[in-house]
Amino acid sequence: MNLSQIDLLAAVIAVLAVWMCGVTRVKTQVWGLVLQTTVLSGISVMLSLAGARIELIILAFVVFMIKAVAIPFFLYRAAKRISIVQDKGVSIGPTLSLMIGCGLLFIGYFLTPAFAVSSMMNQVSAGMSLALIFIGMLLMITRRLALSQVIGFLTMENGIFLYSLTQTHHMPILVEMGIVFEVLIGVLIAGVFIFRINRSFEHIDVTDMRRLRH
Amino acid sequence: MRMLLIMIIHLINLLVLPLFLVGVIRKVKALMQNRIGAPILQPFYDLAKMFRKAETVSKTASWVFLWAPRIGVAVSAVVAVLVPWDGALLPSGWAPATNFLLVLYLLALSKFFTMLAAIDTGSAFGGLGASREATISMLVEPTLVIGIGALALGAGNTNLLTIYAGQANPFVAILVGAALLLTALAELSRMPVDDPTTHLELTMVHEAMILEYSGRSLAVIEYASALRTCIFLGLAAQTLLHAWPAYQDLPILSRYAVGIAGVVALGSAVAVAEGVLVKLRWRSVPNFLAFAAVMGLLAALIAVAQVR
Amino acid sequence: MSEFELWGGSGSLCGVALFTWLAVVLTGLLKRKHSGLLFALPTIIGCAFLLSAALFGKNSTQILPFPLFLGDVGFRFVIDPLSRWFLGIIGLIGIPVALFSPGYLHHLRHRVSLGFVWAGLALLMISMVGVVLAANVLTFMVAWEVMALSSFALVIADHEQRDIRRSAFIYLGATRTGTAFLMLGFIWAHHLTGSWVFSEWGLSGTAALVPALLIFVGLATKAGSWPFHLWLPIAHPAAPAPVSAIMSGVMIKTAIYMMVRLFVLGNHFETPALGPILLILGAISAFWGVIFALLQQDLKRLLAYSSVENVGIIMMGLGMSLLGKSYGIPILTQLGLAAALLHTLNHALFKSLLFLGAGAVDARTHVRDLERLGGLIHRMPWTAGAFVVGSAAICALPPLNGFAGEWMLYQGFFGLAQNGESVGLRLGGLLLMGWLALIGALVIACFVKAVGVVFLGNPRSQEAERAREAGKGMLAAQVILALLCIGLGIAAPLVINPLGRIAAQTGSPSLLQNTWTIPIALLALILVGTIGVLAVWLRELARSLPAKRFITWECGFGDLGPRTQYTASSFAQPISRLFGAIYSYAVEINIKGRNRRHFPETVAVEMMHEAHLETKVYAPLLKSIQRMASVFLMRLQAGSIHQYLIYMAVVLGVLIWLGVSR
Repeated sequence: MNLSQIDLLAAVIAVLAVWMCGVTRVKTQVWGLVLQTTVLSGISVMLSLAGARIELIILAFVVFMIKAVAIPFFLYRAAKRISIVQDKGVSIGPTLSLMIGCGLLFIGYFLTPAFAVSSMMNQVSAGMSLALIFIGMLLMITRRLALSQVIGFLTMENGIFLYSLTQTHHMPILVEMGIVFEVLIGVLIAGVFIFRINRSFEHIDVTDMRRLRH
Repeated sequence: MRMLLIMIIHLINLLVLPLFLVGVIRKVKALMQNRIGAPILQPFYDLAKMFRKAETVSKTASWVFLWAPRIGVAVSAVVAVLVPWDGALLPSGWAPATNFLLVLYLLALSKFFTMLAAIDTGSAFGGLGASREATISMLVEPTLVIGIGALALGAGNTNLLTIYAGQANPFVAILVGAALLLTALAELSRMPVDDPTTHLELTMVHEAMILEYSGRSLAVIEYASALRTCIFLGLAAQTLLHAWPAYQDLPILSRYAVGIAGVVALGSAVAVAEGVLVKLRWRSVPNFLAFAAVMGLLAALIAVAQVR
Repeated sequence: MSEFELWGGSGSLCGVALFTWLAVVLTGLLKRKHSGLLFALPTIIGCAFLLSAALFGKNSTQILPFPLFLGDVGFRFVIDPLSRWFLGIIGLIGIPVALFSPGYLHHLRHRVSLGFVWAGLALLMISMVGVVLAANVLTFMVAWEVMALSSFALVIADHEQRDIRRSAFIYLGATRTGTAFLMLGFIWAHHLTGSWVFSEWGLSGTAALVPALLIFVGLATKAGSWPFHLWLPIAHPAAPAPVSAIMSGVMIKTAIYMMVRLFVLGNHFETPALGPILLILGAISAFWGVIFALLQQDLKRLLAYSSVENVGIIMMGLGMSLLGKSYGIPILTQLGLAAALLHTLNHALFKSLLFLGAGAVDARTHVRDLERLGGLIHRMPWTAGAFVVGSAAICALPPLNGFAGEWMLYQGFFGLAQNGESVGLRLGGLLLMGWLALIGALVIACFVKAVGVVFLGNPRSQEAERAREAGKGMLAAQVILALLCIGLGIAAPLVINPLGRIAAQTGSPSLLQNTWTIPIALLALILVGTIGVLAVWLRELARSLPAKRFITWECGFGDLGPRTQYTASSFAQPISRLFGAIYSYAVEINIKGRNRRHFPETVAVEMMHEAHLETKVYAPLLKSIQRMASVFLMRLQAGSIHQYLIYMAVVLGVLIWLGVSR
């Protein structure tokens, strides 16, 4: 298996996501997100250098600033303000979550022949992006705290972005940047809501939110 | 002639290094805690002192209690001679005897009798230690087999001697080496799985199993534990060194020197970790070992994809 | 048609053995209350003849002459290397069981009719030989049914106890259901091929799938594989210990024999689906068996679940063998088959040893509950020693015999990882190695619990305290089996030859000679030597400073009594909690007292688990069948004579119509 460097970095992102499945501390998860997004921006930069597409560098820079600096900083501060340290997960603990995450990575690897990608890389990146999307969904489903669910959502976003990078006919650059900004706004709004929810209920445990029905 | 030199150095390492390594680990930990600590050769003195002391054996104990330490140290010694944990290039005729499954199951033999001896005394602490040791062993064995199996796939052979005498895929080597290091922490009852210096019986795993031992048998057990430290940390060091392609081509003495340095370095890393980390809650131990398992599984995927 | 070879070959040796046992059957039925020695000797002689047939005989095929036909189908026997392997197992286990039974049955003599048990035992042996030698459906089904009925009679030997009666009926129901599937599969195969003889069947593709699956279900029920294993932990503990040993050690293996003969050797059923099915069901059985064994507090139920686990391991070997066959990798086929057969032999040896040990404990203490035993190593030292050897063997610890079989299975999976065609197959090979390691570690936990709680520590009840060593016959049987376990472990290369001959039956010449490379005998010698030197040196040191005997450390609280020891359920608790989701593991603690926290007076701890397969699948199924049957039957059997006469007239009309329209 000859992995190009980009495929290697894509695999590193996927492994980081799997690692995040087993981590319960929210601050460590935020750092994991930072690492993921940094490597993703690195991939974007490498692609632009190889294909001499300047816009990818701009995109990489924007993505990095927003998803690796601004949003994590915001989440980190939020975590400190509402004094959250750990999130033990809802139905399955971190151990089982880790195993399932690893299994999802395997599934992503085995699905690689199903994708059509640009000539610059093997199909492994596309498989890894699929794995990333699934792992993001896993994180969203199995976490108890709203903050961790936001991190899962952002992981899924990373997967979608990685997938878009592997396609020859990529989306117009403005659409890409639009999506990233939309994500920023979404997270900011979610953060505001998290503060208010915490202030009203003293916690952001979503399982207890079901009691709002009555 | 060359083979004789290799074997002599290997035997010297076997006699000197285990207790020396334990001394180094304790010294580094003391330095981490801002103490001067005992001299590095203290374990030797301790062992000599314990051999001069009489034993007190529980009335409930039977022959299992008395023979378990002897079986343990014999098995550990045989495994330490056969396994190239210090970089030894032992004669290839020995390769079939170093089959990694045989080595793992031999270590399981010593664990079996140690657990039985713990229950033999009829104390609740022994049962506690044995039950936890059984659980940790269950969590660790699959990782070891899958990880070393991934390495073996690269070498085409399940004999440790052949595996460590050949080249390895760097990614597989690093992943498996890290997994081996984490499982070594569990097997050797080090932080964060178990605190080797605790006095609280309810927090012990390995210490609880040997609580009733004293005098000569305790000395034998300590030596066996030192041997196992060398074996596990040595295997981890060798695996990590295999990620460095030039390691295979070094001459004998440099190979030994780098191997021993690797073992001592890993021992110091373990000591630093002991100073920095907190002992995990018992219920969080499977979570910790799951990381090692995932590393082993990823190494397996890479190794399997490499086979063409 | 009547090639009847009376002299020479394995056939005659088997015949002598069968006649000896027939004599035991008749004597047993006539003299109900006689002592065991009269029966033990001929049984042992029969087993010895069987062993020599296995080791020294020649291969042959025999058909019994004309008068002994049923319709136009005769009784046909075949002896080839595979049958000789299983004949060897039957003969080898029969000898210790026959040695053990007189002493054991002595303690049951008021509740059980001795001659009857011996007759049943001999009949069971005869029928097992019949199953293993059968070459066509008729012989097989006759022997199979006699085996089922005689084992049922043995299970219900102590028939005055209600739960033993219930267990025996559950066993009967399970074996009848399995036999029904088997018969259906055989009839289907006969319909497709036109022959009743096994060696003449050669189906492939989708035509082979249905009969193969039916036959597999029937055989898996007998073997005790998940999900058809529920009868095993119910029936095996209910039987007397030597009978449990034969059932667990040998009778289950006859189903494995049939699986090998029909699916692995020759090309009788060529479907690629069978390999993965065997592999997956085997893997699940192995895991299921051992985690349930960890939960058990009854020693014999623990051993029965452990049998489920070992059958799972054997089926994993067979599954891998079939995978090798469908992918055309002969070394895999042969390694898988060899590992499965070797494990069959090893399991027969150490499981019988463990069951005989449990029987000795039961005979002396009349207690099977782990929570009331303990400290027996001082009171029954030889039984304890043999049980430790048996436990070490079942944990596959070198240099005992269990290691050889599991090592070959590991090597087979590694071969799959090396030679598999797709990445998925290769990854599967490595993952299966990890799975086997997980199961191995669980088995070690299970048997450390069994040995530790039964034999070590302090006795937890009066019965355990007053136990004394078992009688000479019982001890001799256990010691023989223990020595065999050690011997077969050290002399593992000796078994490769007969396995090679069986492997050659799969079509390609044997590749097994170079697979076993470990110098196990030398290693064992070095280990024993090192321990010996160490022991001598320590004893020299002890001359000046002898060891003192004192009480166990109890934190200064004084004598705490045996209740503070770890119990079996506490030993298994960490692992049971880890897998708790599978069987809804729950611990309920009830504390009563003036002040529950500071002044507790009574503490009750209850561990609960639920086998979902039993309660959510089988129980409702059986209940609905019962209900359907009773409702339907009630309507049919209205009690009115007129209705019955109408039935008879209708059936008569249908038969006449069928006969006329031919």
